[in-house]
Amino acid sequence: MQNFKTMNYLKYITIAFLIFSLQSCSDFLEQEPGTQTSIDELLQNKEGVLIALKGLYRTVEGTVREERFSVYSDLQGGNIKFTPNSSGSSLGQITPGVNLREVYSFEDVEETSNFASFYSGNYSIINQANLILEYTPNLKDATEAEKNQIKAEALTIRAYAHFVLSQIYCQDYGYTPDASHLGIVYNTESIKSGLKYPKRETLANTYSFIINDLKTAIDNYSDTAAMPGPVYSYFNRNNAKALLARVYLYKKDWTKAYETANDVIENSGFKLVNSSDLIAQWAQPDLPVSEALLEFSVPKDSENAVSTSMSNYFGVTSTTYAHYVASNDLVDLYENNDLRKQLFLTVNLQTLVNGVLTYVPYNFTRKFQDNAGYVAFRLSEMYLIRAEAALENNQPALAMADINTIRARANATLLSNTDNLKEDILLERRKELCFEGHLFFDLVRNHKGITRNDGCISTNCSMVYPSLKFVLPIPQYNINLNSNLQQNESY
Amino acid sequence: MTFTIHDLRKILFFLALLLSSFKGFSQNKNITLQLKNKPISLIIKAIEEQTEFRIIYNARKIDAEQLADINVQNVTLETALTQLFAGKNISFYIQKKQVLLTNAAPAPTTATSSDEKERFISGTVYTAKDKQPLPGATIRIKGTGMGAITDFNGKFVYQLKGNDINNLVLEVGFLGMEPQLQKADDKKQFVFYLKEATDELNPVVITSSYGTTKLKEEIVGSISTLYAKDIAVEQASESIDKMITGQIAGVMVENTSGVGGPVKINIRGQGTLPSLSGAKTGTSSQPLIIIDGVIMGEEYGIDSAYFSGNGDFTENFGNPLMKIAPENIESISVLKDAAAVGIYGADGANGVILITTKKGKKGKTQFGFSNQLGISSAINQIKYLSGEQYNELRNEFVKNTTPSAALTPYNGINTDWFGLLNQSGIFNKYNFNVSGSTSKISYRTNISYTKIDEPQMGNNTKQLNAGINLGYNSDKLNISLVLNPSYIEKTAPNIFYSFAYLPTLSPYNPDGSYSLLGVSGMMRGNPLAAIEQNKNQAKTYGILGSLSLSYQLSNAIKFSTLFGMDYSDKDQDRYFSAENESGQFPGTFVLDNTTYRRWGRRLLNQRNATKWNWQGQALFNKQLTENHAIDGVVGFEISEDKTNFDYQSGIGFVNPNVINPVSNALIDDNPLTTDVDESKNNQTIGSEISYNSRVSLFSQLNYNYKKRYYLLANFRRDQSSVFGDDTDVANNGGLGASWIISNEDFLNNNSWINFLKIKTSYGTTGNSRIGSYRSKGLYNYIQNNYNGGTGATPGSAPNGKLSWEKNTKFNAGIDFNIFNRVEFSVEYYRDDKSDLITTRNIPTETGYSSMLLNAASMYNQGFEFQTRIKWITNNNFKWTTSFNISTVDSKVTDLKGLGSEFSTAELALAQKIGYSTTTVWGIKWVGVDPATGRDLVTKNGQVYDLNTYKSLFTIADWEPIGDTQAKAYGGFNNSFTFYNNLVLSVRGDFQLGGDFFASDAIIDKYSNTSNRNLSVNAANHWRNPGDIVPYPAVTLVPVTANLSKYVYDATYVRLSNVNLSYNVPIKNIFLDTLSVFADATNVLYWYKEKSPKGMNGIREFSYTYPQARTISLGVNAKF
Repeated sequence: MQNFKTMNYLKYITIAFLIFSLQSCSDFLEQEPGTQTSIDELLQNKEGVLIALKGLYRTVEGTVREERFSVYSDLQGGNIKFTPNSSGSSLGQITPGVNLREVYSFEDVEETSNFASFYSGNYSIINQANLILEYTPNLKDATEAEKNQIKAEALTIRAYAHFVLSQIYCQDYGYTPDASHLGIVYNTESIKSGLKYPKRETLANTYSFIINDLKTAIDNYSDTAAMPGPVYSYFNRNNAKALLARVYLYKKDWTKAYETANDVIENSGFKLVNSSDLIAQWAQPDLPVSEALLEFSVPKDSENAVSTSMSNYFGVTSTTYAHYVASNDLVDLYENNDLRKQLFLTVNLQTLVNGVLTYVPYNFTRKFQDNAGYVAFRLSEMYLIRAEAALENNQPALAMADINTIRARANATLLSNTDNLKEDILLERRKELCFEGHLFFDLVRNHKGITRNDGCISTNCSMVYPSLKFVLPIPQYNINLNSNLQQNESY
Repeated sequence: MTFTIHDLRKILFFLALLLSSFKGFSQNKNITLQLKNKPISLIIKAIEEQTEFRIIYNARKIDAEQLADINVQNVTLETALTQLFAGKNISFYIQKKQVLLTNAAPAPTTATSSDEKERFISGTVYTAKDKQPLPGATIRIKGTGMGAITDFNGKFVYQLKGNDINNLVLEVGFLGMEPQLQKADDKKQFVFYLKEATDELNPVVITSSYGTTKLKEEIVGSISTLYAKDIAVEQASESIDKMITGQIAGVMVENTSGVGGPVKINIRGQGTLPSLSGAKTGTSSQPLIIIDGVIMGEEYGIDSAYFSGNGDFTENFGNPLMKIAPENIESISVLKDAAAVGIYGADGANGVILITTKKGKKGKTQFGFSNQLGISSAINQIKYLSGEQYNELRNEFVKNTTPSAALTPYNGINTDWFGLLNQSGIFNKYNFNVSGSTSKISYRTNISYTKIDEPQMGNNTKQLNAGINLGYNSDKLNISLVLNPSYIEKTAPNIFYSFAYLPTLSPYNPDGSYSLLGVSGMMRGNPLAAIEQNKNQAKTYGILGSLSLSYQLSNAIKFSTLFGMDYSDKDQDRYFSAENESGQFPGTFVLDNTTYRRWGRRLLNQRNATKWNWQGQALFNKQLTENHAIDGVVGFEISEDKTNFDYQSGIGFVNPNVINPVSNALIDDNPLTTDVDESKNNQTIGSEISYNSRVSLFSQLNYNYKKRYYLLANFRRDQSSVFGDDTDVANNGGLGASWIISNEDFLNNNSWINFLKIKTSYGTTGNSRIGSYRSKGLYNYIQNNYNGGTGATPGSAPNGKLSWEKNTKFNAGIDFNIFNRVEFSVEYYRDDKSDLITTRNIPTETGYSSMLLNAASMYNQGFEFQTRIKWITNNNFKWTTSFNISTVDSKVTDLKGLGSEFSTAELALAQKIGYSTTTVWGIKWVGVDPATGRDLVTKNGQVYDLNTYKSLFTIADWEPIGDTQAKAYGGFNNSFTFYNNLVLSVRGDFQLGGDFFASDAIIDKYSNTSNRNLSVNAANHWRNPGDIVPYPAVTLVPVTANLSKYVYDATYVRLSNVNLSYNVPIKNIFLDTLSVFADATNVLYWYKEKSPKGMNGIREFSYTYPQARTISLGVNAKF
């Protein structure tokens, strides 16, 4: 009987132990999928984080280079007009194209917003960046420097995505005296923290978050990019500063805008392209201009062929042409000697004029031919920012010097007085940075309306500042789902 | 030398051992014997074989040929003989090694006197099986209702009274035991051994796969059981699910046509929300199926084009129940309420089906053999337009849509594709089994081979099932090994049934070769040619088996453990030959600088699944005091499901007319890209996995008071890898109570109520079969990413809080048996399902647009009624009827968040609060405008032209136009036995209410006529103003798949099986029994909604893949 009892106990103990050990053996309950991979699995080591970072750059590139954002500012501002249809029953007809039809006329609709994919695309970018930011500190196989570099790149991307969102969805910083008007939802946590129903920050807060992220990033950058590849294709200390300079410019923080732009000009090591190289640099296939601080690499397929690029919207070949060309409003701004006038490629296209197909000349830009990528930051812009900031800081001489640097490079006549410097700077920005996504934002932040003449087929070719239609509607999808989310006025 | 205490102990122990073995040695060998209805002489011989005793008797005085029973285990000779001769007027004396039998009663202890008026008797009631005293047994004087109840030690005392005490008969009864009678004679001491009832009214029912059993009457939960004798395995089907259709209350086996498709069993309504996208990768709606303790895997879809269950490339799912030969099934129990399934916790929400296979029976080796041969034909086929009708309709369409186009004159061809593709099928089945048992070892082997040549030309299934069941039983230790290997080969090149080929095309060219039909795509092409030239074969090897061990520690405690595994390896191999259009793909490829057309496709899908579970449990069973008893189980279970998927696809072969390996799909490498090898770009090779694991603790406690009041409690804790990290533990449990009113004293003497019980239960269960990785956020790898190399971007959103679907079950019921003839039970159930997983839209500020959320609630409720009536129990004629009917009412009660509420018009589903998930959503059709020939619909009492309606309303204005869920469903079974030899069974099932939503594609989607035929209904279209017809003018009508005119009332009654079997009376040949039978399966349908004359209706549209009716003959022998 004694034996039985002992046995009895032994059994209970064994079973209890077994059960206990199974419960504590959590590995048994960790199951991971196959060709897809879970967030936890992918981001557990450096290799995985870099795979995610690579995917993130592709998403960023895809979102800003995509037709909507990449032509938006120049189209709205009046730098761009459309080419006629190249074939079919509507040959020679000019239409705005489906992706931007409503936006072009300042008539975007919240239910079917042209920019809905841009909105969700950027928040996908932000979530991806947040995921990387959350997992990177726990990496066991990366050095502190490597971790800091990854963190810096992800933070810059997060700030960049929020910034481009604010450009589209928020009135300019000076719209209210203290920028207390609506900003955007600023996401600093990934989906892993749970489903949230956020509300929009004020624009002042939005900017301070952006600036904060950028400053942290700049402090964390090392000199080596996280991944192999061309330097110009990744975020780094220089282009993060360039972004920061642009943010300060938009914020009208002239002192910091000056300092930061100056920092890039002085310390980045980049030099303006020489006059003699200017046209050739823009025309070279596959490579950016040497002064590009950041140009995203275009997607390529398995056979290393470029699958899509900026030339999809601006390109012209002997057989095909894209949809967007320079308006004469822009072309006519250049002096005849201005080298930049050579950056237009004039092609005659069949166009319906009064119902008759007629060859009409169109000016394609040379900036985005031959598999060009999206140029996010370029040194010229830093000179122009520094000029504008200097002027606002009551240093017109410095401002004029910077403008003349750019004008001299372009072989344009130099400014000799500062009488109308504010206008001169804006005009120079329009001429220098055309097709690079600045014009409309520049006009609005200077509280100017828009005037579109040549080739304008919109019902609203001219708009005065301020206008509720200068910002696009938050997609109704999001408004429906989130009662905390405030729609922009007039939508 | 000194003895220490310790040594002394050792010596004493040794001595004790020695003594005990001496005792054993000196005793005579004990007897274990179990014989029934055998002559005493034979039993005596058997006893002699087990002992050293000789039994002597005078054959003239002792009737040694009279039949007797004996069932003893390990008892002394004396006990064995006492039992054998009980009530037989035979006494015995044991002397040395001899036993002498006499026909005189043993010397009376007291003198009997004829004027005896009272006698004090006493006795003991034991269980026959393990010789344990049986408390609570009733001893009644037959015909009076008076008597006594045994005490805790199984003893009773009673005062017999009367004038003729010797002729009084004592009747001993105990629930679940066979009653026993003993004449009082002149005895004062009585011993009863009660055998467990084999009574069909109160069998022992397995209540879980963890070793718990209960007498049917004592079950607290809702469990319905079918035994082998109730299952018509002669039905011409490949698996058990189709054979039990309609036979179990509350269990809806979806009637599918064709052989070997996935199982669709709904227990008490829909298990979960149906997918609005038609995806087959969501939460399982199927019950948990457990075979002899092995949790059966199910074939489910994953997010892969090759295994999603949708599309041309995907693997065709199979029926897991084909792994078990129906002949090998002993019983099927369906567990429905919280008291029954609570022990399955997070796996029990959809109900549990427990299947036990047959085991070796005590007795000599028995062989069984059966063979069945039948002929099948397609029934209820859809009638299509004839060549002439089609041509007229097509011309009208062309005329109305392209006025300038020339019309085609009728070419005189009228091909009956259905007739060409359907012929007589053959059903053939062999079964062979051997079983037997010695005192310790039992064995049973079953082999069955089924070959089904379907009426659909070219499609056939070969199925080989074996079952091996080995058992070792000693006093305390039981070991059991069960193996069910299977091989299923399904050949189905005829996949063209859903495509109505044009009747104006001839299948043959004038030279006799197969013609091209001008259609393209893998599911197209000349079907006659494809059947001959294409390949579509799925081979599945499976082993389902378990090894279990149990040890009886004491009367009260038993330990047992079981390791079970369900392994299957399935290959589906397809080839689409370029000899017909199904293999002619667009494009070209270049190999060795020659350009070829991209023809021929090889497609291989492999699924390799291993699902294992290991359980260990302690079962206890204790009569605490006279009135209180408890029993139950505590245990653990771990299980893992590992499924590996592989696929290979190759397109474009140099010689595409023959079956090529995938590796033959080669192209030239591009010399310009030296770093990339393009030669295999026409091949796709990949693999996927789906793994999940679970650790669980479970327990059940049963308590009863006086065998009248029963209480049950279940608790289970599941921890599963499929749940989100934040919520990976599920605790579930249930409570149940029942009251056997008929055991109360006040009903004891009732002569017509045999049994009356009320019961209720409440508890929670869950559904954890939600797919392996749905809680995890996923990244998708993408090649050629930023600056080259592999990158990853997020796919589905993570939800750390994603958890099992919850199901709170309430059940209440009454069981009633009266007149020894009628048994019935009524139950009410309500399943409240919450946290149902569904895809919901989420704010895109999160980075994702949708997420799987536990975001819906619904309920299923209804009544179940089942009855069995023995109308006539005459020896020459018996008639028994079983009947069951269940109702189900279902509604979505809550939906959190927003989401796409409606599916496509083809699916016509929606998720709406207040409506069943089976509601068909669409537009109410009122007719065809006689003036214009256009569809008229109604909304808010207004009638609109369909075009106008479409301009005014959107998808959000859809209304319920039907409900595919039946209001009530059930089945019946009548069995007529003539002279114990001829048995006629008639089975059927039915559905009341419920709708069928037919596809407009074959009804009046006229645009399809470019390459497809329509059903003959389309001939009844509008032609001239004034026509009152159901189908509009033949033009490009707005394509609206969910008009109410496509909804048919699906109320039907089906005669599913008629079986006539005859036991051939045989003598003096080697066979023990021989029966021959004739069987008809899927005999007749009656539909409430009649098909219009000469046209198709619910009867025809219900099954695109035609159903088969099979008539077969067979023979069944035992020897």
